[in-house]
Amino acid sequence: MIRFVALLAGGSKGGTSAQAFATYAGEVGPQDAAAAHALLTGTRPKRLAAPQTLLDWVTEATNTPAFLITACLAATPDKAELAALLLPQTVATTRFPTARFPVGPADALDQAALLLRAPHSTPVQTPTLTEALSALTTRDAYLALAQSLPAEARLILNRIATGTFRTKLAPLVDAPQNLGTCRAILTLIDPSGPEATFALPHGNALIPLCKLRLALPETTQILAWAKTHTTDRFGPLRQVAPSQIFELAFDGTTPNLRRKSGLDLTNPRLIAWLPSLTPDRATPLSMIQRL
Amino acid sequence: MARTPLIIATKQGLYCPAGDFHIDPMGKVPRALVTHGHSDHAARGMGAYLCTSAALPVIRHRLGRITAEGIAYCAPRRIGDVTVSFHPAGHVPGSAQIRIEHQGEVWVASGDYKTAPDGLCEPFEPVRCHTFLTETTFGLPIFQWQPEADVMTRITRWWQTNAGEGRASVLLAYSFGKAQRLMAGLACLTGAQGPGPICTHPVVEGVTQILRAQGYALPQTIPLNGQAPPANALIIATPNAMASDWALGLGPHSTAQASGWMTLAARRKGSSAAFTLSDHADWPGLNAAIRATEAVQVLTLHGYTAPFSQWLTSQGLQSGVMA
Repeated sequence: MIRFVALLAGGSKGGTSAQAFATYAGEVGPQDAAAAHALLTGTRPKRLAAPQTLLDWVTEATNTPAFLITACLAATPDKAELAALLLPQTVATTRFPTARFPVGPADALDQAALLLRAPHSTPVQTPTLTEALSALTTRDAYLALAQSLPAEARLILNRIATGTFRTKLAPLVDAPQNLGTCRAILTLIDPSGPEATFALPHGNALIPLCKLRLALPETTQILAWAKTHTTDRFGPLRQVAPSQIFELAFDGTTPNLRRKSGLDLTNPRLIAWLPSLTPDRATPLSMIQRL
Repeated sequence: MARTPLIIATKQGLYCPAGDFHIDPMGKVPRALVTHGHSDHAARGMGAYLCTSAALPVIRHRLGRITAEGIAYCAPRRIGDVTVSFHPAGHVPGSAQIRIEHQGEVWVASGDYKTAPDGLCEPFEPVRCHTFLTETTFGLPIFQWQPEADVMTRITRWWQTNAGEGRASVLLAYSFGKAQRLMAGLACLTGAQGPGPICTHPVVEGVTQILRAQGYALPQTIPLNGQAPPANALIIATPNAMASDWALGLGPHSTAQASGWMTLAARRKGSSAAFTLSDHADWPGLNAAIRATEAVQVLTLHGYTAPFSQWLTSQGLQSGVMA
């Protein structure tokens, strides 16, 4: 269960990557891998209880008065999350040594990671995903299971138990296919990602296409360029002069009328900065729309 | 026994009529007793300031030329008709609760406090009193902190992963208190075997140097004044810094936040990583601290004042909302 939660924590908006899943599957054995695959491809187990019922169980088990539940719901309206946070935290297994700088820092780290059940460490006496799923049968079984898990794992457990688990395995399970490529214009930069928004020309306008993490060998130079070519600011977001062309690859397109472009790119990736090209060499949006 | 309250809420902030002074005032007043140097507690424009000697350097650094005096922890001081003393609050270096005694009646204003020791600031010491003014920033049972070592371990793993993939790690935190707690905690955990150097935004570095000069055990840091950080660095910066030109010099990096609010999934959205680490007491901490004061009356301020006060009433204490 802890490894499954770590797998989900490593995922992105688009879902959990196939590569991460393959690593996970290799580590946990066939039973858990099959159970995780089912969950991540939309095969939900029968729900144990509605979110309100689950919250009622936890409220009763923790003897929390109704007025506190009301106040907590104002802070987090998600009942599955509230139920996960209300239960007492699992017992702390380590404490900071009283000495400010203890000896054996490497040992301390390993020991802490082991005992604390941090992601990527060996879980200690926590159920496997299969065990957890098979224990979701009754109120008492749920409570016993939930209390054995740290809060972030409880949240996932609660989502599964209430039928509100939504994370999906990212599409195109094999290696990227580079079905499509385009040359897009950099329009916005968020330095805290750093993330960049790219757009394609459509008539005289630039239409936003996608936002991607700015991870190229030249990231430092691109950010330095942005410093002197910022045309407007929206909080941390900077609009930059629409003069830099980047090559993007993607595996396909999905129509999406909520987007100005009318489509979502599937698995978009940033391939290269093309500083020698001028904006008129960008791919017209209509060309992508025809794909 | 109806007595005149030792502390009342006024437009300028908390006021002690018998001593004729304010506590952490935001409006201009002649005499301010200040619990710690955060800007929502230490403001400019007071006639005179009194705080702990440990808090004074940072307060001077932030407020500029002020008339201020530092006092040792626990040292009694007569002001008007009352005796005041400052006691460790465990919130940030130098932070204090303020004890006020008048004709045998004792009130304690907590300021901000944290009950779990963090290895850097003076640990919280409960002070027996009749009336306790408690902050309730995280006064709901959903706020329960993990042990500090857990959080530092997670941050270290994140830092190691980033360093392994050639990205710097940018950790966003308050420039005073949280930033130094992070660098001290991470240095404590990793020693000389950390994934890389710890770098700082100039605002963080300024406060760090002051605290280091005071004798707080802080590791070596490299201030980033425009130069690019090493790819394996951990950079501690304020959230505001990421909106400045400074952030464009960072090169490839991952960003994470460290705050008590990261408990809530909605607050974690948009961050590639988030760590729940607070300098305030959590629900168990607040309750334990209140019990330890043996106060019969508890007044709440900041945060979830109303539900927390109702909770205390349901537990048999006299309680009300202060502000």
